[in-house]
Amino acid sequence: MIRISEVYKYRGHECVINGVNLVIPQGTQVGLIGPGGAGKSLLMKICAGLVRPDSGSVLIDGTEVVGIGDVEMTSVRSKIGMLFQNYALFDFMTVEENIGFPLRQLGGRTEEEIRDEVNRLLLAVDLPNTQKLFPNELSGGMKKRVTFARAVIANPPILFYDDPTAGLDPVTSGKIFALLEERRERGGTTSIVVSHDILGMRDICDSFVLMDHGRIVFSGTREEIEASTRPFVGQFWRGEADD
Amino acid sequence: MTKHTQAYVAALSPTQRRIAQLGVIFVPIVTQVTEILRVGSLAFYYAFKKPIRWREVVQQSFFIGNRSLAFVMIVLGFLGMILIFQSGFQAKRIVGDLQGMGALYLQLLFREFAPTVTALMLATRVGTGIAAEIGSMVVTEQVDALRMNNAEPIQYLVVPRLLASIVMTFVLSCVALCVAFGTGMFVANTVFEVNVATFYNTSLLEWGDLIIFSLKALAYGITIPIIASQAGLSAFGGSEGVGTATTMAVVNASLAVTILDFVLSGVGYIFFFS
Amino acid sequence: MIEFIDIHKAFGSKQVLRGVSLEVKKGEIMFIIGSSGAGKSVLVKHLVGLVRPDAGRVILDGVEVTNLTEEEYYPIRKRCAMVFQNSTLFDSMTLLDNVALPIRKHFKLSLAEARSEAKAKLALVNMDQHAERYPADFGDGMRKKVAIARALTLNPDFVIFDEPTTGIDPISANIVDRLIRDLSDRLGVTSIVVSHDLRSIFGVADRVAMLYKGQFVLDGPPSLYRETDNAIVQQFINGRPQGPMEV
Repeated sequence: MIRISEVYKYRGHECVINGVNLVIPQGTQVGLIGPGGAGKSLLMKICAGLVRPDSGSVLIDGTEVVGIGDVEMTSVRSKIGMLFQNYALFDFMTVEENIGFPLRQLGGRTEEEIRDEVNRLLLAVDLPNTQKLFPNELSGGMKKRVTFARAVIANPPILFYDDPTAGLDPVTSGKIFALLEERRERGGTTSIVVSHDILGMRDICDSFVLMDHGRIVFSGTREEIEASTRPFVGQFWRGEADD
Repeated sequence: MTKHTQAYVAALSPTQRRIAQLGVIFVPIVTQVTEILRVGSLAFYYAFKKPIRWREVVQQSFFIGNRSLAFVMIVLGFLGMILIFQSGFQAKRIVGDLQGMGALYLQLLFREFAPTVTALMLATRVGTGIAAEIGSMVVTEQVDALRMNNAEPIQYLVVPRLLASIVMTFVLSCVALCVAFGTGMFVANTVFEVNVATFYNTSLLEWGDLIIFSLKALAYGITIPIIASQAGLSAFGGSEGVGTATTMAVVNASLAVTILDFVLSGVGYIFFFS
Repeated sequence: MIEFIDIHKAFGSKQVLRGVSLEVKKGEIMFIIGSSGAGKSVLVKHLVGLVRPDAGRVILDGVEVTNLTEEEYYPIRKRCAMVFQNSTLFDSMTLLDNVALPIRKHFKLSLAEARSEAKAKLALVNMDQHAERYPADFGDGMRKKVAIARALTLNPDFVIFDEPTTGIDPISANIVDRLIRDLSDRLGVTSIVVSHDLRSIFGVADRVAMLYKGQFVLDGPPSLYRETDNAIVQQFINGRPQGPMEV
């Protein structure tokens, strides 16, 4: 379970996260949506302990992550898998080394076991025979799938997806969302998906949180969002502009 | 300046404003130096902690050496010739005797030119390389990905570069010394007809020269990768961020080398040569 | 009118375009869609000589512009504005100065003249009332509008938009879509939009052509894409992960 309470974050004089409270129950997948610059990715990075908020608290399975050192963070981070917006694949490592990296960092497995696990995942994301390639030899869609594989290889109970389909064509996006959905169906993982692709996300999240200007303006299930009479919520959901 | 600071500054008295303006100069310097010291001390902490990625250290040493060997040799080679050529002419006019030139030149190379000029070259060649590499890893979130996997970026990225740089700065300084002395000897011999055996004169060398040489090489070898890594780690934004970081790395590293040179020369003077 | 006739292009051993022909009429909004790496951007870059074809011809208003020298491309590039995916604004400058910058560079005008010209361009995208504000005050859609205003400074005859709505939220995307439609209606510019944003296709495009494996699989009005029984187009339009398409 992730419990975010009263989180504030300033950039200069601007309040970029403005008093966010949110509880994500065990085993649910939450879609975090909102206009660009609303603070979605930032909130996710605060949860992952990569960005320190100016005040507030984030509890991950009961452990406070705000203000603790990198050493104490170790045990929390090994529970979290993260898919980064910019792929964040290590460009000096092959596909195989990239995907196996979390397992190697955790330790306790032989090279043989790691290789088997990597090969199994590469088949699952439909990228056979790419083990020895480097990230710059892959297309955007392929890189996203490698990043996905790296995020899930250690079977983390918590998964953060930061804009998993940004810049991808509809078919490739569909493939990525199918992978996310498959993960969700296994059950047990608590996850946050930040995305602009509302059409693709509609069916794969248990609930949605709409952010704007650093605040949560709405949260609820798909049905609740669609039934909402607030103009901004409906507009955003359907992607209508008024200017 | 944001709107708020502008309003704040407008409300100050002229004297207060003058004092506040000092902050515009000093606050960034102090923050930067603190940041560099923080990265430096963490790098040292992790340099004595397992695991050290020795394979990466070897690879980085190869990169540093490979990238800079020809560069350092060419620059120091020409510099050696120019130095002897110019000082030879002057010495001939004033003293008329060039027999002691080799001994003086060798001492100068040890104390000053070999390690410092090499370090200035490395600050541009290696410093930019490290800043660009780490900077682009920051803006593409690779550094965040390392942290999420409990790989401390300083331990993982900075320590191998630090160790490689310490070794290679020393090695390259030695190479630079030999090359500069060789080309200097060549000019002395052809232009001023100084015998090679006369030029090669170690009588003025003391242990102090050797210690200062090693001390300088060590100090530069530590400073350059740390400053460059700090510049890289502080990159933000897109590719412009990486550009800014590399520029910052060269400027800071060259400045640091020059200041360290001054300080260490002073130390040498007080402890060995007075 | 822009004509691409039987364009072939390979990069190394990778055959990207295998005989692509396309006509874009004056004032039309042409969408080129297809999966990432299908060669959409490569095709449009042939027009301004940023990419040269291995075989085939490019004809602009009846004049062949296939293999010109770099200098001969200059007038063509002036007539054609490109809005790149990452056209970013300078954060430290007001919107007005952001737009005035290229005007000053190109026409050697005084600051005041360039600013009044820039204001007119901002008015085209309905942002003139915000001229003195900074990019940071606005969302992605508004910023993109200013970037488009900046691209319009040389009064282009045609505008190429490279993935104008990729990576921005749906409302912002909608703002950009409307602007593309509006520019075409009011200024009569010919627009070529490289995109894979399905929402835009049905709202904005006059015509849509889909590239797949280096050739067009379908070319026609948006409505055709809903009716077609071409399995590849269907899969793409519906974003289905399973199907005959190889990506």
